[in-house]
Amino acid sequence: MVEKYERDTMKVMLADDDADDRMFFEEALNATSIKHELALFEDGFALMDYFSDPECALPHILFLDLNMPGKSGIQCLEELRAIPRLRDMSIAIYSTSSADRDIEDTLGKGANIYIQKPSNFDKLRKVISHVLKTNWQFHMSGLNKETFFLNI
Amino acid sequence: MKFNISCNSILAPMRILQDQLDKLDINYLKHEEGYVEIAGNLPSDMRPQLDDKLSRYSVAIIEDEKECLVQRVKNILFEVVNTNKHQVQTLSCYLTDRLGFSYGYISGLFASHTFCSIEQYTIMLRVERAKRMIIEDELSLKQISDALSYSSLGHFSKQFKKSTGITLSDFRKIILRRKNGNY
Repeated sequence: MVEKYERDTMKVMLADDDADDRMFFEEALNATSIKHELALFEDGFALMDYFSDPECALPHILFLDLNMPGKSGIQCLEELRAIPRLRDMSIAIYSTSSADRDIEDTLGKGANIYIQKPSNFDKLRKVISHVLKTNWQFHMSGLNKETFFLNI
Repeated sequence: MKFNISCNSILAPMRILQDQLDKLDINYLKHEEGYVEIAGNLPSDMRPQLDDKLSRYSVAIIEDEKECLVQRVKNILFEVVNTNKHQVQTLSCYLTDRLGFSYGYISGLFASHTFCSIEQYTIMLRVERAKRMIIEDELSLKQISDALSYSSLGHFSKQFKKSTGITLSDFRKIILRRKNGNY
């Protein structure tokens, strides 16, 4: 198993204004067995600034906090989904809310995954691992990304 | 008008490969199992050209033998899930017969290369097919459930929820919203 993980690096991005949440996420990601590269953004403006460059490197998956001051996750989602070159990038909404309305709203606007932020470390590690592995199938097996939904 | 497309087999990538080999004037033999054979080796200067052409269609040639086997398993599973052939054998026997390796070997190799088991992968393919059928909007959920050989609508809806985290009716709502919105 290790051999394959060594070869395939998953490129992951997270936009979250909360420094503790960013650290928590990074530690949980490091605790999975998945080889990865992580880039962090502190708010929606920094994130959109990055993607405004048409040459920028794209991740396999972007984790997007819903409640960010200034430019919210939902605003970022709408702007990102309006950029054709980002169509293949999976977007995971990372939120404290578990309201059905938020789930329907974000998935309806083009997000692929909805994650309610887990409260403990072990759960978070498992959730991240599951999301990355499922996402991998959609990238590697030619499945239709337009209908890729996961609510966890 | 809008065209939604789907691709249910490896026929398309095979065709793309054949077209490119034709363009390069290379003779080949096509095998039904999903691979192409040429006499001798490809001249070394042609390989980058071929890879470049294929990459435009997101098609890639697999070199690694184990990876080849994993891809053949995926192709077979795809075929099993996307055709309505009645299955007389269990999936494990079928894979063993088609590939000539023990199921233990096949399943271990598959899991180590794909991050998921053959069973999980099959469920995922079946749920993906269900999604396509729901979007096409021609069959009722009961008919879709039957077409995918689920024992009951209840079992189908449970597996859908378990695999995606959303219910069948929420899935429909989301698809409708995406159709009506710009995305």
